Amino acid sequence: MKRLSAMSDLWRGSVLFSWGCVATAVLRLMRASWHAREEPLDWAALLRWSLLVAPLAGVAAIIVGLAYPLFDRWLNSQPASGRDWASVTRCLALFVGINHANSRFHFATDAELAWTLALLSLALWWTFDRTTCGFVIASLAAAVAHVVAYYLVLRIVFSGTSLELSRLKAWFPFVAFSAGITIGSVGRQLAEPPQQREKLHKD
Amino acid sequence: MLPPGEDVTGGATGLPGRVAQMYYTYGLFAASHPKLLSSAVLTVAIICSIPVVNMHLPSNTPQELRTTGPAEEPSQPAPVWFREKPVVYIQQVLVRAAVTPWQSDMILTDAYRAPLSRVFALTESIANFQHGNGSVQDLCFRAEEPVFRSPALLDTHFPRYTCLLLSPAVLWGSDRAAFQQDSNIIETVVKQQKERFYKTTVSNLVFGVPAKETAFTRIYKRQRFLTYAVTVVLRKNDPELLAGLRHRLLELYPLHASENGNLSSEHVHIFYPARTGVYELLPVALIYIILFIYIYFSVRKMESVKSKLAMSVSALVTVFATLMMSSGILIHHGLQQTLNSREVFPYLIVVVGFENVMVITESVSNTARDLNPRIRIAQGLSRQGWNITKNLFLEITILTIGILTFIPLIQEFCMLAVVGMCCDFFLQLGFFAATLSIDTSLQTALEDEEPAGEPSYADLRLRFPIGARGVQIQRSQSHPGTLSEPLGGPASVVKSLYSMDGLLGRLPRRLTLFYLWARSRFFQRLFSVFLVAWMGLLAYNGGLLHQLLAAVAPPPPPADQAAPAPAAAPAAGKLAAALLTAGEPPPPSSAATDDDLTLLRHRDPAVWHRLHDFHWMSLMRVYNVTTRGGYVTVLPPVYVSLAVSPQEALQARHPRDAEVSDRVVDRIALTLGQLEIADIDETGQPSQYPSPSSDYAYVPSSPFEVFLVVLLALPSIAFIIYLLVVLYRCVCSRNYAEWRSSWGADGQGAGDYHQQQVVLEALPLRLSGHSQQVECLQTDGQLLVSCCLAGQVRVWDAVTGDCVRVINRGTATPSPRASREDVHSDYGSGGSPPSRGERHLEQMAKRLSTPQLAQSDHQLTPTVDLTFSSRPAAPPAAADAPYDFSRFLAAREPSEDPGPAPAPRRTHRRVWSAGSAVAGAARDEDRAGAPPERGAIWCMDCSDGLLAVGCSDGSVEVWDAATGALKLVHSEVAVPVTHVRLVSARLVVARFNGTVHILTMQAVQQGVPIDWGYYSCSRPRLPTGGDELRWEAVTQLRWAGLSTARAHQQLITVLECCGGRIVTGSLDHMLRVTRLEDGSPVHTLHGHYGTVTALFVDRCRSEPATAGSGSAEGTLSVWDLTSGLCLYSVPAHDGAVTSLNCNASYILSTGGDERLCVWERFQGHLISKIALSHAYCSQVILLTSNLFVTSRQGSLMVWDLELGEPVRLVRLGDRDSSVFVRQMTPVGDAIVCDYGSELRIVRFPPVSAHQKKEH
Repeated sequence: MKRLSAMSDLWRGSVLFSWGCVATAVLRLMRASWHAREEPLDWAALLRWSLLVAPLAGVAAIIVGLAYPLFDRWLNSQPASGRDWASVTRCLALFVGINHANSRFHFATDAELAWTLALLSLALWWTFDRTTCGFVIASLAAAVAHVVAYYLVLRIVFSGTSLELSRLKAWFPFVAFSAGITIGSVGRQLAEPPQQREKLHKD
Repeated sequence: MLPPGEDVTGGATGLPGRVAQMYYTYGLFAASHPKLLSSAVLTVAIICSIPVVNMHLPSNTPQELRTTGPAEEPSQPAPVWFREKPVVYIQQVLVRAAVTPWQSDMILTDAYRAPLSRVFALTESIANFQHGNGSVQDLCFRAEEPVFRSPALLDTHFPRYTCLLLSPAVLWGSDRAAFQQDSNIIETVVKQQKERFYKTTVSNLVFGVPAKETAFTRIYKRQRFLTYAVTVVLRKNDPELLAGLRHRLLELYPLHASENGNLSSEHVHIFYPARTGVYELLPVALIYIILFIYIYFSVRKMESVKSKLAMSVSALVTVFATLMMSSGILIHHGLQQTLNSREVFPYLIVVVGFENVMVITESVSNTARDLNPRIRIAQGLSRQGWNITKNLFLEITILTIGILTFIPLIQEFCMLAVVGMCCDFFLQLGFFAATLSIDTSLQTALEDEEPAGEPSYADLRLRFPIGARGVQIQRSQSHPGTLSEPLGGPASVVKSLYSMDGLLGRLPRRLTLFYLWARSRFFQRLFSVFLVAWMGLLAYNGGLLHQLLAAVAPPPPPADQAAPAPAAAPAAGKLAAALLTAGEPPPPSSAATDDDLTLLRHRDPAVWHRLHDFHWMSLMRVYNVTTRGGYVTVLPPVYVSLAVSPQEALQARHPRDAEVSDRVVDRIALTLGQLEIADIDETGQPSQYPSPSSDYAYVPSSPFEVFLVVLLALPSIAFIIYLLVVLYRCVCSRNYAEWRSSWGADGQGAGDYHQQQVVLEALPLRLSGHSQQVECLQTDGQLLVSCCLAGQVRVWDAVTGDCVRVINRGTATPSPRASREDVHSDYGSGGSPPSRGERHLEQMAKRLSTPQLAQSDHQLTPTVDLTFSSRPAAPPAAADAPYDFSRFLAAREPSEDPGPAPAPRRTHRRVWSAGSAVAGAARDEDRAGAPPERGAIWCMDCSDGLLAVGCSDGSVEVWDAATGALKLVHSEVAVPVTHVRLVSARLVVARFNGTVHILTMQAVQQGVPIDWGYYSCSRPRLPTGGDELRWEAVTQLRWAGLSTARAHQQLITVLECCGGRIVTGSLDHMLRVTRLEDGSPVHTLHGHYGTVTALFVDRCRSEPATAGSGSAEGTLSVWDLTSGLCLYSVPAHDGAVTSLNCNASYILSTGGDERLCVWERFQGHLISKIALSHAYCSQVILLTSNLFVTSRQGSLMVWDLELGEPVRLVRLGDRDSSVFVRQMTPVGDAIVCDYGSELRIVRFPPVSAHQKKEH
């Protein structure tokens, strides 16, 4: 971890990029495999999708992950949870949980799905971040990501069914918001000065 | 050492304090019997987890697909498994039957026997049905021999080598005669409800509907609506034949045929997965990887314990035992697990988390290491107890809200999580705390074994603030949240200097905007609105509203019933009872047939769906047919409603039914012990139907479930009430300001690195030279003037600590005061000091008594001499400081020269001309000038390099502090001087009799008056040889005016000058505000009922807007100086208020009760109380906006104002507690204090870098 903490911005950016790519691909794979009982896994399509979307997500992860510590410094804000990898992992696990709930829970209406996800993602923000700038950055990221996802990726990659499209509207912004919070906490942790971490350890 | 735990819990009041106290008691108990407790708790956990064995961990939950027709494409893309043919088809004929109209003379079994007897005819007609060239016999699944023997009924009564057709008739071997001869059919049925087979019960298999629907779970003597099904298992699906069957059955049972025919046309395909594919394992594997990373990072944090491995294992055991225990409890009580537990468990662990375990560990390891391990555990628990409890309640509340959503999956997860939270809490306190105490005692034992080396400095520092040295912290009730924050070791104390009020003026605009935003709590409000809206939406969609409305408004009685109803109801009480059970239909005894017939409709089309997920699998398992890897198609059931006439019921009655009905209830209750036995009440009716839209949702029905719900609801309600109380406290006007002021600190992050400062170790600078106890200490920012009991005045450089001048005013008669003071100091160093209140009064008395004694007592001289000689020689001064002989002089002089009688001195009326007497400077010690004797120094003030001295004989001397030249003397008034203040060209002199003289000085250069400002700035500040002599020659001072204000009748005890006003407080309980220019009175401030003992004037602004005063009876009053009104007056202390201090937002007061109180300045709300023990000096100095300094025995203590916690201890000397600090003065970034006969300058460098001084 010490090696990570001493990294330059470039190194940090590349770590964030790989985080974003891997997380996107893995989540997509998870979604696909959760539905694997209903439709067989199409590895080629998955790969194609990942090649297109994962770099985009990686770039987004760089922006968000670098913006968080920057704005923190600028606005003197401090996330609610303790600054350590355990809480980052916890955040990550709950983010995966939100994805899980999204794809496994059957809701009567899309509105219910949307409200539930919104609440879950807000709760994630409340538990792990609780800063205004975190909220604003994540919302902005979610909005941008939604627009990009809706108008570019879906039209090109998916010849997707209309059902899938309408569902996307219900869940994507909130999942993107939680993703913003999660990657933000990762970015913050990466930007953590080493002495602080050592001090934490000393305590 | 204090009694254990008192540092945190002793004084804390309110709920948090009580909770902390409870935790403390528990911690002591847990640490006393750790092994017993942990093993007991673990045993309980294991017992609770036993039912987990029954859980189908490796299996997968079945999947469902619904289609409208058998071959039609489903609306969703078809899953892979759907491409095959189903293993079997299930066709159910659901029957809903009741005796109607019910007659009041009927007996218990009448409600069951006749409706149930119809099943034989129905079964026959289904089994023998033929349509075209097909028949049910051809189509049906041919059962072979049942392979299981365990529930006896399977072996004896289940169909073998025939059509697999199950109905309640199977219970009597499909033999109508057996049924008719069965004297107790209820018992026959109820017995089978307890016979478990695989995932279901025999009763469920034969009835084909959940036991709850059969009306056999609750036995009442009244009309019952039975639901049962005839289940036919088919090999093939022949829609034509089945349509014919449906048609035929509806013909046979025409009641509600039209509705029953259209109820459902949905084919439900249930897939039972055979094995798990790689794809399906992937997400689960990922979750588990994340989980393990989380556990790794969490456990890695556990560093401050003796045995890391053991404690990590203990933490893991805690969490996993929690998991097992909660699942076990839920399974034991029959709450179905439809969630795939494999997928849910990791989230549950993450939600439950290791946080509490870590927090407890950290808190315990932060306690003082030299304490008893038992006490350490108790303290650690009590510090975190309130937080842990609060979080538990908060989480339970949130999860209870989740249960109220009535979305089955969320409900189930929430149930699991709530039970998990409670188990976790139980295990943490029972198991983990106990193992931690074992670890702690091991640690202590090992430390004892080690050779006790020299304790390092770091160790000492580490030990210092954690409550072991009599630091008592008491918090305001309205700031309970900060109660149990672990206090970091002082070596790394990081405190924010941020203060809302102090910094707002300098904030960048973006931050101002940001804080404004943060203060308006926009997001918090948004969040709560969101939560409420979400709950509302879900409740609405979940049909809760509908249900509630239905419950509130009783259904309108049918028109034809209105007339017979009163006649049928024999008593008014019955009607009232009926009304009380609002929402229930009217009494069945009087019910019209129409109403009963309506109730015979099938309200829940998918009633079979509430069977266990593996019901059909269990059914096929009886005949050793596996459905794993395949699916079962449940065809749309045929719904049949049966109205049985009372005549038929009477005919079907068994001769022994009458006696059965009397005792059956008791006997069944006795044998089975689980039935809910309701009193026979003809008016009531159980709610047989759950609300139509909540068919999957968990609605509590059994007593245990209701109990569980109540259990969940109670903490939630308690928490919400507490929350409301806290919110009310915050919002109500009394605490609002305080609450608001706390936002700044909360919201902006206390640990931010830019406005953060580390209070470093400060090394005191040692200024020695005085021979006796230093009595007065004044500074003008550059020079430091001190006066000792010997009457010697020394001038020091405040920066370097060099002695610049020694001003020998001539030998003042050693007054008895000196000896008394000396004696007092010995007393103070030896034994325990007097309390501050006492001391204050003593000082007062001293001042009062001194003049009389000074006039007459020369007998005391030998005593003085003796004291001096017995005193150890003062340590030699620093090398660069001139050597001081004055102590020898002081010691020798009284014997040589008895000194002039004070009486002639009192008659002196002399005005010393400026420069006529030049005091002996430090370089010429030999008393060449032989200045005339003067009175003892009672007070001093120093400003702009001028030193004003007020004496006991009423004279006031003005010295140039830098050159040591006496500039002016005023001795026209012989009343002793109690206070002097230099305010630019004016000298304010308060006299013993309560008068205030304002003397105006004028600087004269060769006879021409010059501007005072010019004088004060061009005067040589530090002597550089002959410079000052030349200056003295050309510039002189003279008195230019005198105004007298008769401010008080009695002694003036406190005096402050600020912004053109003089504020004085006196023994006569009053405060006077006087104008500085002419001495005319401005205001008289009444309100105290005792001597005014402390005073502050707001120096933050140029205009003196407010002043605060404290009195001997302990009140603190704050005044508006422009209007002379009292802003507020609060009882602050039990004893006298001894000092007051203020900054932009707080007022600090100390009192005779040895407490320091921090007040919110504008409203006067108490923010925190800090107990100061052994603080002899009542003075408090504000170092920055949130750091203040108090003195203790031989040391200074730096406190954090907002937290009310000690930050640093600065030791002034080698000896620990021999000398009391009596005087403290801030000089720039340093604090000057006396230390016996020496002075100490303590500099706080990081503070100075920020220049946050208020004064």
